[in-house]
Amino acid sequence: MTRWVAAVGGAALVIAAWGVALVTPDDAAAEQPFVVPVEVGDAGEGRNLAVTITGVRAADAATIDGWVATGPWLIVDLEAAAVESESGALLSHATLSIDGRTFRASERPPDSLFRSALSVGVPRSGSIAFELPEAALGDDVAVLSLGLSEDPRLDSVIELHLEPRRLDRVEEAELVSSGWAR
Amino acid sequence: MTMDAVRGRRRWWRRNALPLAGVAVLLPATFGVIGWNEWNDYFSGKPTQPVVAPAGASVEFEGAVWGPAEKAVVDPGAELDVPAGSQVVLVAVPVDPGADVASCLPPTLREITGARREWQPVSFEIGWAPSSEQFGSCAGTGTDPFTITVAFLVPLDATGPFAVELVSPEALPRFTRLLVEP
Repeated sequence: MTRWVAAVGGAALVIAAWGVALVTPDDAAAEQPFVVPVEVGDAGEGRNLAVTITGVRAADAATIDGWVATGPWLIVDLEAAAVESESGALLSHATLSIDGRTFRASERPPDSLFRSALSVGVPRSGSIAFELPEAALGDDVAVLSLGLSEDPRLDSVIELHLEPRRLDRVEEAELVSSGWAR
Repeated sequence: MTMDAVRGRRRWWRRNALPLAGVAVLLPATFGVIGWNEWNDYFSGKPTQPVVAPAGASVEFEGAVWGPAEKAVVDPGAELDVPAGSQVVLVAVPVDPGADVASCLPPTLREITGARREWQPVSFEIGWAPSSEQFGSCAGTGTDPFTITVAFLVPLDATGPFAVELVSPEALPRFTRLLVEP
């Protein structure tokens, strides 16, 4: 009787340990960013970043102030402001993840909100452009992630799920020049 | 449980009273010392200990006299690019450096209640250029008294009370906080 109880007890503990090992999050989970999901047109506010994505466009060529470059491009129009402090408040993290690949916003446009300084409580408007391979624009799911620090861990990121395939592709799209939103 | 077992257990506690007391003291002390050390290191490199001057008063700090800080809302007129829903606040801080050249970074403006938001000086963002005699920080000043004049772009929902904060890197974690009239 005692041996039987011990055997069952031991087996139960092994199964419990296995279960605990299964549900234990990995090391990276402890430093994941705090995700604020948004839809186009909605305002999303994180720790020190408030963003309203006003539009997403796809184009063969992007242009601003006489600068033209063929892509293809995915262009995100947005309004962004800091929330509590202007110290280090640059929109330094802007990535688009499609099918396991992560693309960073392009530094090529002479004027974009990528890596620009934000003001507390006074939003700035502009665009961020992603230069993508042709196949990526045909994909179903893409995740846009915006944050202040280039390393987004342990800070808020504003996240938008979008469908690149559903976007109306135009020949040429002009980026919104950066400026005060109002 | 027999009386002998109870007595034996009591005896164990009594026999190990000294080591148990040691654990009871040393365990919290270990956490306390390590915690204090780490937080002290963290806070000593940041402006965490304000030397406060009330509104309309000056304060002596690091051998110099700072303040009184004055604040004025600027009429944007046609030449300043001030977005709707915000205003430009001009702040002047007279400084008497005393015997040595004063040291300070550009000041910041902080709401001292509510969200405690913090703004950094603006100039070209709003199309304002300080004149060559207007100092934005202690850089380039001598031992003669001078005035730091900076502009902040503040949303209209920020109603104060405000303080101007000046950091001298070598005096950290102490810094000056000059209150201004709302």
